Order: sequence, then C-alpha cells, then structure tokens
Amino acid sequence: MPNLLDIKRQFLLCVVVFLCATGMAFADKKAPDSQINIATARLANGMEILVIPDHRSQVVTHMVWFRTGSIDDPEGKSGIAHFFEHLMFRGTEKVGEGEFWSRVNAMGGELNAFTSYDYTGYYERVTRDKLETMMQLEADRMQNLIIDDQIVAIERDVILEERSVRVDSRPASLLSEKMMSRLHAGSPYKTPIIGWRDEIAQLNPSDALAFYQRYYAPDNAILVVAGNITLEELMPLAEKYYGPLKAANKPRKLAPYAASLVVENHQTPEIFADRRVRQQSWQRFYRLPAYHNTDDKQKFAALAVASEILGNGTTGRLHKKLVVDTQKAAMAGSYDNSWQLHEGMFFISASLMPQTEFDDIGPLVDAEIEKMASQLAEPAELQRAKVQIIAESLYARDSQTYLANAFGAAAIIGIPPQAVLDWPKRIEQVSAAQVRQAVRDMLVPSHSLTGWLMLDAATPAEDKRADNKQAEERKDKNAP
Amino acid sequence: MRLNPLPFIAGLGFFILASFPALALKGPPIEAVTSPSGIQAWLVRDETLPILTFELAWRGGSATDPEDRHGLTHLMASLLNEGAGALDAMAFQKKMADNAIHFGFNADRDGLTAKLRCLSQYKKACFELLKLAVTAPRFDADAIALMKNSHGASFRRQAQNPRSMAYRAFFASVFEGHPYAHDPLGDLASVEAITQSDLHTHFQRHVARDNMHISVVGDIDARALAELLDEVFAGLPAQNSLPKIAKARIEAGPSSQHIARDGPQTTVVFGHAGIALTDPNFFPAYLVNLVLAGGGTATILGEEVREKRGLAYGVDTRFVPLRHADLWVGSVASDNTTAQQAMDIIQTELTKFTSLPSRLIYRLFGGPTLRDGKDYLTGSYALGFDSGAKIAGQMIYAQLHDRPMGYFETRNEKIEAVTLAQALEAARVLFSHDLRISSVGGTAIALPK
Repeated sequence: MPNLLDIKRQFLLCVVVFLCATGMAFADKKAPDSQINIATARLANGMEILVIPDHRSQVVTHMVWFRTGSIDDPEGKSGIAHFFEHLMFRGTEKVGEGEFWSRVNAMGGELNAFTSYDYTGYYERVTRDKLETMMQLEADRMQNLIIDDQIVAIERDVILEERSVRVDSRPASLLSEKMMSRLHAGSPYKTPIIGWRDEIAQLNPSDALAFYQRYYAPDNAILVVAGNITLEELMPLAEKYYGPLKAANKPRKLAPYAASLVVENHQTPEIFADRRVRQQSWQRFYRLPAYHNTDDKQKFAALAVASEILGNGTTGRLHKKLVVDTQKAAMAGSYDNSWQLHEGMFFISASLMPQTEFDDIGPLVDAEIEKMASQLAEPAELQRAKVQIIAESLYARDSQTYLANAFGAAAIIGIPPQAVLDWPKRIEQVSAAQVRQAVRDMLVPSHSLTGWLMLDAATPAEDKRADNKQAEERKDKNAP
Repeated sequence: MRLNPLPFIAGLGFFILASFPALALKGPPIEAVTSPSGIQAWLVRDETLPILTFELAWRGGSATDPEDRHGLTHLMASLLNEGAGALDAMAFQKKMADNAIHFGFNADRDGLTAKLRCLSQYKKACFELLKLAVTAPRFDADAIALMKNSHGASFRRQAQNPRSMAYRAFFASVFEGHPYAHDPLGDLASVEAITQSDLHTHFQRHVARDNMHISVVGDIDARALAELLDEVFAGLPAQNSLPKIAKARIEAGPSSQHIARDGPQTTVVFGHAGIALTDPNFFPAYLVNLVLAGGGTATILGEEVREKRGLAYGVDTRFVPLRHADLWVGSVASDNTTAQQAMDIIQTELTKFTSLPSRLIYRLFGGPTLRDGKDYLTGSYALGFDSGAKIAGQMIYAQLHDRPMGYFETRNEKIEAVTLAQALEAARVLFSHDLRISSVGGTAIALPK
C-alpha cells in the first residue's frame, strides 16, 4: 500500500500544476438500490442545474462552475483566469471586502475554489439549512464584484507566492511545466494554469474586469448541488437567486483544435537538471484526442483499461518490469486523463534507483507499450483491470464532494451525466482486442514527450531571474 | 485594506449570546461491539451503500523503533500487504486487485495504522486478507529489498520538498534526545540496516490485542462483526511488548536554524509547547488557535500576512496531538525578500496574546473573534461526518485520543462553553513560550530582538 499510495501521490504531484479533471465514473447497474438519480434543469437565463442526491447526512455541497479556465487567458495575460478566481473572494457592495470567507465560515461552511485549463469552480459545503445563504452569496459575486487597484496589487503578490510554493520551489513541477509547454506547443495547454511569473506580475484591474465581464454570466455557468436535497426543493431557490441574473449571450469561443497531435522533436527529452533534486524521475506525457470530440467513445474506456493493466500500482506491468524484474526504478506507474476539453493526456512515470541511467528507462517502457500494442492482454489482467475501475465507481459514492466534482467536471466540458453513469457499462464491454487497438491508436510515440528530472550538483537552481529569462526566450520564439 | 465591521459586532454579541444553546450534532449512531473473546470495536452500520470500511490502529509507532533501526515500524507497515501466509507479495497484491480491495498500512510516531475498504460482494476475500496480514506476514527477502527501494525514493522525495525538509529539521531540533526527533521514515542508513528478523520481532511486539483499536462503518451488523473480530484477531498476543516511551520535553526557544536552498522562497516552520487534548484548557486553546490561523483565511495571521500584505499564499498553525508530547506548530512560505517580515508579523501577533490590554485593544478594532471561531467550529462539525470513510476516521481518532464514544454528541457544547476569559488565559499561557524556528530557502530567519 505505501508504494501504491506513493505512486498515486507522485502522479498527483506531477499533475497538480494542471489541476486535471479525473476521468472517473460512477455507477453500476448491478448494484442493488444504489442507482444514482441525477436530476438536471435549466433556468430561463441559460444557467444549467445538476442535482446529485445523497441523503445520508444533513450536508450539501454547493458548486458553481464556469466555462472559463486558463485556456481563455488572452495572449500575454497568462494566469488571469486563476488570478480572477482569487479576486472572487474579495468583496461586493453587499458583502464587504474580505467578508465572503468569514461569512461562510460563520455559518459553519467550508469553501474554496479551483481553476483548471478548461474551467473554474467555486464551492461551499454547509448543512442544508445554510444552503440558501450560500446561493445568495454566490449569485451576488457572479456579477457585483468590486475590483480595485489595491486589492489587485495585494492579490497579485499572494499569487506570486502561490506560484513559488507550487512551482518555483519544486523541481518536479518545473519539469512538468517545461514538458507541457513543449508537448502542447500548438494548443492552449502549453501555458501553465497559474501563469508565467513575469506575466502574473503585470496583471492589472482592467484585465480582471474584462475577464469578469466576458465570462461570468449565468449562461456560462452550471450549478451543481450534491447532498441532502432534491431538484424540486432546489428549483425555487435557484429561481430566486440565480434566476434574476442577466444572460450574457456570449458563448465561449474555443481556440481551434490542433490539426495534429505530433510533437516537434519528440525524440529529444526535456531535461531539467537542478541541484535541489534528490529523487531522479523519468516522465512520459502523451497527447490524446479529446473524449467529447471523438465519436468512438469506447476507445477511451479501452485506454482506461490499458492504463490499469500497464501501470496501476504493484500489479501493473510497468511495476513488474521496472521495479521487480530489473530493479531500475523504485516506483513506476501510469495514469490517463481523457476528459479535457482540447485534448486528453496519458502519463507514465518512474522514480529511478540511484544507480540507474536515464537511458535505461525509455527502452524498457517502450517495450512494455509495444507489447500492449501487439499482443492481447491476459484474461486475468483484463478482468482485474475492469473489476478495479468499476469498483471505483461504487467507492466514489461514499463522497458527495467527489461526486459533485466528477459530474461537474464532466458537465462543464459537455459530457452529460448519463455518459458518466454509463462509464462502468462501457468498461464492462471492453475486449482485449479493443485494449490493444487503443494502445496502438493512442499511445503514439510521435505524440509524446519524455522528461528527465535530474540531479545536477553543479547547476544552480533557477531563481526568479532565470525564470523570467526563460519567459523572454519563449516570447521571442512565439513572436510572429 | 480589510475593514470588517461584522466581527466587531459579533464580538460584542459574544457576551450577550453566550448562553444560547449549542448547535447539537446528531452524532453517528455508534454501536460498541465486543466479541466473545473480548475484542472491542466501534461500529456504524450503514446499508445504503454496499461498502465496508475498516480503520485499525495499534499504539506504538515509530517512537518504538530501536535506536539503530529508525524507520522500522514504517518499513514493517509497508510490508504487511506484501505477502502473508501462503501468498507471496505478488499473489497478495493480485488478490487485493482481483477483488478491488483497498488495504494498506502506515506508521506515524505514535502508531501503526491500517485502512481497509471493500465492496460487500468481495467481503470474503477481504476478511481473508485482513486475517493473513495481521497474523502471518512473511517479510520475504525480495519483498523487503523492494520496499527498501521504495522507502529510499520516499525519503529522497521528502528531501527535495522544502516543507518536508523544514518539518524534519524542526522535529529533530524540538525533540532532541527523544525518539520523536526521528522522522517515521527513518533515514537511508538506518532502513538499509533493517533485517528480516528485526521485522518479525518488531511485528510480534507491536501487533497485539491490548494496544489495538478498531472502527468499522458499512454493510455489516454487530453480530457478524463480533464473529469476525474473533476470527481475525483472537490469535494475536494479548499484550504488546513494545518499550515504554518517556514523556518528551519540548526544547525551549528561542532558537532558529536554517537550511540554505535555491529558489525564490523561504519556507518556515515554527512552534513551541502546546497543550494536551485532555487538558481542561484544551478547548479554549483550540479556539484561540483557530482564530489565530487554524481555519481558512478569515484568521488573524491570514489577515495580517496574506490579506493585508500579500506576503504569503497561506499561513497555518495547529496542535500536533502526540501521545507523549504536546506540541503547537505553524508554517508559512514567503519570498526570500519578505520572509523575515512575515515572521516578524507573526511574532508580533503572538506576543499580543501575552499582553491582555493589547488583546482587548485589538478586539475593539475588529478582526476575527471568539464568536466567529465558535460559529465555524460548531457549524462545520457535521461536515466531518458526511461519508463512511470520514466517520471511520473520526472514530479511530477518538479512540486513539482516549475520547469516549459519546464525545461526538458533546463536543460542540464544550466549544460553546468556552468563555472569553478562558480563551485569553489559554492564549496567554500558550504564547508565553518562545518560538523555535526552522527555515529552508534563501533567508535565515533572525530571532526577535
């Protein structure tokens, strides 16, 4: 278990800078009396509503998701979507500066927000009797936020500190950021969600106001409420608080999908060598087509099964080859994330043993993938992978917050609840031939990039100056 | 600038509203289950989902590691699902995976813990693996070698994380000479030295009935659980034979130590002696800490360090409920150019608590108050019980900290009963200790003049 957990934690670490939505799913037709009945509705102003029942406690999870994320950051204004998420806690005419947080806390509420590439979400968790107040507060800040110079200046400093915590003090995050920027050179995912340091430092109130007016409107939002409530109980409150908000009638404009998933110079690894590194690691990121933009959905279920067979914990093939048989790595695993707006991703990671050379890892991983692409999985492996994925959909039901996050993250990129509910059924139908085909079609070497996190005692770490220099170099490259 | 009239009004209201009844939590319906042979467990039966959740704990932990074998309990924990009975490591892991069983052990300074989750349809395999793991671990040589590799990676990963680095240094300094000074992971050399026989011996000493606690949530009734308890645990030694751990003395401050590291930011861990969970002043102190920096951003330090000045992404403080020591710690990370300023502000705010007049003056000008803290703590308590996993966790925590089964029902009353005078006195005592500081990054933190 510790190594299983560690592998998962490691992947969490490597994806934390992207705040990925997980491609989890939740239902099992065979489970007695436990079908989730998701109810949906829409207000006249276009705001969508999704209710997830969980009547085991008096708690509700109230979330508002917006169809905006870091992929909507204008050129040169990276980080504005995330920056704006911070500003949403500052104040309106009705709720004084800084009071949002304390008002929710005073009602016994937990609250926070998150920004990903594709979306931004805000949530409060409270007992059912406090829900109405949360809706009132959330509706108020959707359109009445006060943005002034001083608030923006302080929050900008907070975010630079956040960037230091999450990225600039962590060699593994710096490598991921560099890999993402090369891997996705032709897509909006090339830019980190939190933004480039030098660009964050330039963000100003007018940028924030423009972003707010463009994206924060009921017809660009989904209300998700999980917990001890029904749609019938929720609707009058939703009408009362969110109903009066004016629709913007300005649907989000997505950048065109990349014409090709080929990565330039994919054979040259991205190397991040730094004297702060203690545990060297090898990473491989693949670009995948986006789930919701691909007709053959079954392919994604097959890839999820493939990921399980290849790299889930100690029963995965990567663990067997790299950790047990050759002892080149202390841990190894894989993880897939198809449910993103522009493209999906597949991650492979290995923590090197101290004596292992980076060049030893690639061929071993490639051979395992080649085997998956050329041979059928063993029936026992296939069955094990399916059992585990389907079981996760049942375990997930123990957490209303988890359900709210999963259904919300799917809905906000256009994947309806039914597709989430049907996911275990799709997994059940995956055949060994589909797994093989999915690996062939989707884990394409030229769609990938490899990264090395390397200890280099001689190279001083990047400091802020170096970071800014990187950013300048990048700008030069992007100049028309 | 945050002008905040609400807490001021609420602060006055404290005196008026203090006699209002506390928001009672209807706690989870816990059943005390005792097996025929006397093994006890706390059970919350819940048939709404076909899931079983177990949390197990054995008091002991890395504090009981032998002097030259730091990391032994942690390594042992990692091996308990890596082969038992007739199943070698791979067979055990495959049986877990084939039946979608989540089962793992961990170790902290005070205990060996286990979490086990399974779906009702797989409970037979689930209970078999549980019994094997706690009665017949193999500690095979090849599994030990692999787990040492994995341990080394965890150790090195900690050694590149500034927060982990700062915490490790802080514990080493505050608990110098006591087993708590060592991280549960141990270090590379001490783990390398661990032998198969060390593991078997330590397991025999550690996994017994008298230091065991069990909580269960889910699709099982009291009778079936009682039978299961005997089936699984009756064969364990009646008594553990771990060494007794002495009460730890927390080294007094002020002190400051620094580890130089590249990067834009300095990460600081600070702290001093805390207060025991069983102390009559625990709840007053707990409330004070919450208002100081124990909650979201609506806290005194959050306000001063983040909201007003943008010096950090966050600042947090908490009590560390160790069995043999009462510790209070906090952490903050700030730019190398502002880390000293952030720590000076924190010092200033803590010092204010030791001077009654300045506390009262502070209150007149607003800021988070005791009433806010009470409202948050009592109102949010139910959020910690909205899933089976959380309830199982709450029940094992309560048992490990000597809380009675009825604690969940009365906890909010205890919080409501705290008076301003008690809180101010608890704060005065708590913050009269000087800080010990460990920093990692570009700026060595200077002690207050």
